[in-house]
Amino acid sequence: MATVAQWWRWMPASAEATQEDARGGKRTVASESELSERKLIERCLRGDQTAWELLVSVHGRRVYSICLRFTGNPAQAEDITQEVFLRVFRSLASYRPEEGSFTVWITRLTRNLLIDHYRRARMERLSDSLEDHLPKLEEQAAVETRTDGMLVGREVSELLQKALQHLSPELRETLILRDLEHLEYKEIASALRIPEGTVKSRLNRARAELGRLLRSWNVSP
Amino acid sequence: MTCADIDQLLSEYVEGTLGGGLRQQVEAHLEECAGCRQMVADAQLAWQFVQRAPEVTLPPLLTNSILFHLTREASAYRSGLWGWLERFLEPVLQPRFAMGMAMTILSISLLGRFALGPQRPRRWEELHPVRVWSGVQLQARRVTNALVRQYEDLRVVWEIRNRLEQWAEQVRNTTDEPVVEQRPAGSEEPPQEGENP
Repeated sequence: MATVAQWWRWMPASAEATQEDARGGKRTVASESELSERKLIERCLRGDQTAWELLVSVHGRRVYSICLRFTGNPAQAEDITQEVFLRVFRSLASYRPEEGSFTVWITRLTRNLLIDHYRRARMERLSDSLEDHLPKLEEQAAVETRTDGMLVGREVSELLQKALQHLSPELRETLILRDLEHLEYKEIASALRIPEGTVKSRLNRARAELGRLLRSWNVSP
Repeated sequence: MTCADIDQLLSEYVEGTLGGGLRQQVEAHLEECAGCRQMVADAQLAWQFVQRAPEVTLPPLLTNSILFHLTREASAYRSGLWGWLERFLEPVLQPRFAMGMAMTILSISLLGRFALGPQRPRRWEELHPVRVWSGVQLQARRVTNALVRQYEDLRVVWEIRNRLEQWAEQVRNTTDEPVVEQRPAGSEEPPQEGENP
């Protein structure tokens, strides 16, 4: 019931902000440093559209990055990122700051959607014929025969993207959250709902597998 | 220190954040254990490679798209009694639900027609093939006659309408034509008043 009460407030708040603009009044666009996370959430819950814009700008990049690294497909990553923020909008009232930071909460939400997407995609792949996979196998072979050790920027990103797809989803998500998004071990454990020891163990395995793969592709550090 | 013990320390060792004492213990184990040494080498290669990857940037259009969808989602939840009613009836006012309801009503009515309505007792004679065939023929003839009659009626109506339009056209032409004085052939002077042509 609280959620509905917060939803209906969205439009009036936006209208107020627009009216303030029209009167030449001050419409405060606070930066991340000025506005604490909790206050930002409270403003979002009150239906402040400016706060939502800020929330998307603060957390959008991380969510999109996780989605892109996990799926390896920009279009899918954009779709899932959009879905994540719609879920945030619908269930923000259920967020409890005392249970963890908002970053962990939104990371968990993203991870759950990614796992759902992975399962759906796997079912579709199982129902596909081998002929549908032939182009992918050829592309993979092209990557594997690459011997250039001096990769830079975009090439590193593309190669990493392809290498990540070879890891299992559990290892992939752990490596993305730690090595690419630089989350703390505790935060990863909280987001994935696993013990911190398991996070470290998975991270070791993920790095070792990725290293072996890169070595087989003749990629130097 | 065993392989299982250093499993919890390797990630930080690879990152270079492991404290002095533990670091020495791990290094001592790595000197003895070839398997762990290889694992650490692979992990270090991966970690160094991943650090070279550039940060992903958020596509600018994606932000706009997200905000657009959020606004649309919010506007779907309008305030007031009507908004509340819409939300309350939202699950019911779906095309699938309407279709389901229509099919249910149709099924119940058909069931009622056959199960509950007055039934005329059937006789065995009615199922004779000749009788059934003649019945079908009779029905087909009725339908054909109805169609032919309909077609004839339409044709007559069309002809009448066409005829009326032609007459209307003729009348319009005669009224629009300018009145031209008729002159007798060969006469140069116009006829005088009271003179017969």
